Amino acid sequence: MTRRGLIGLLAGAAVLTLGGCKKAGQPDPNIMRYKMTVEVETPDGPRTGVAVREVELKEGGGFWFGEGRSQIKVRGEAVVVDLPDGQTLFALLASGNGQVDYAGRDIRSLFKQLGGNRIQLWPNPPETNRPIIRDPLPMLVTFRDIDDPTSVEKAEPDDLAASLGNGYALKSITVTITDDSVTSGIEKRLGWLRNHSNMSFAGNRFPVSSELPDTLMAGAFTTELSK
Amino acid sequence: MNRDLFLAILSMDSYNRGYGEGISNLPVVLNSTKIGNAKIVRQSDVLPGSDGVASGFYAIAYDMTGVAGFAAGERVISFRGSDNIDKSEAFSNFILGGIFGSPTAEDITNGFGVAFGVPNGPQATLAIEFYRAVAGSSGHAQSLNLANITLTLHSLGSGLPGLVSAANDNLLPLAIRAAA
Repeated sequence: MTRRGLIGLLAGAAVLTLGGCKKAGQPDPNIMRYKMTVEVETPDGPRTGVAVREVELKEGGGFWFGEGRSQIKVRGEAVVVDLPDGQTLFALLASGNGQVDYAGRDIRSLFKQLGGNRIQLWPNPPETNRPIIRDPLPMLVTFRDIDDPTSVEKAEPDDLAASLGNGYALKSITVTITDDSVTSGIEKRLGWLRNHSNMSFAGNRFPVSSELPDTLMAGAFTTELSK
Repeated sequence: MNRDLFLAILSMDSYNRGYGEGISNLPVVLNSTKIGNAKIVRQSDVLPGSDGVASGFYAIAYDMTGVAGFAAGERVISFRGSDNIDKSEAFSNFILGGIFGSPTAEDITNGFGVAFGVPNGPQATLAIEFYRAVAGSSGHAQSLNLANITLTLHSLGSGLPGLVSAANDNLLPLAIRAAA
């Protein structure tokens, strides 16, 4: 290849790359941030936990690649609610029925369907269609022993008392559009979390059962471990 | 149902399970969810931050016991093909990704290398890892080349099974069916 041809090729690649850059100062319509707030009634009064996540739509396709679907990426972590007696409730990035794309795809879809900047998920779960979101609530979990990932247990939104004891009840879950920074740092509470980026809490590289510890990995709690 | 047709159906099923699926809300309850009589027994990474999701890899394994045309205990692994090529960056990553690497065009930079004789990219590595996990759970951890596993595939998924079968000295070209 001649020098002129090489320069032309590199210049063309640069133009195509820069052509994808967003204009400075303008918000990216494909990116949204929301704050999930979980409020729990306890024997000592209400306790609240908050987490901010960012959802990005990455458009797929291309003029010669017909196999690129749009992707929705999420950044952020589980909501942490500190409760009396050292207990902790986590609202995960997955939904109660196990949808792993809940915190990104489903929440984004809720805002697109219902409009507005604030949506209440509990105690009045929203009705949806196009698409139907079968479970609009996050998965709620606790640990019998916070230092033992295999002790994870699911908590039911309509019966927190069964998991946490008398006097506990889920008061509300809301999601609100925000500009706040994405929440991070949950690994400081769960020191073993980094060991489970690619291994289930039950210790399997690829899960072998549908038991809760075998279905959960670090990614249900945070996307930020590798950052 | 014809065996080849069922394998083609399973090759498409991998696009609709797990993460980033084409059809939402299809369940994956291991050892319970079935498509026909094929029971899902394993799937690869689905959660953010895992190696599989970061590299755009997904595979799912079925127990074909009781399915006409398949042996009792036979497993089928379906590898998902290309499905996450970012439109805004596809061309620049195609040109530059091979030089500088890119974290965004997952299938291009993490999977297409198989077609160019690069056997140790992230998706190729995960494909072999998943195969070995499925073979191990069917009692062939020490004899991977004897596991009764059929690999079914579509698109990018076609390079991965070829590599997996060669890597495990289990060249079974008749058992690899490319979906139409």
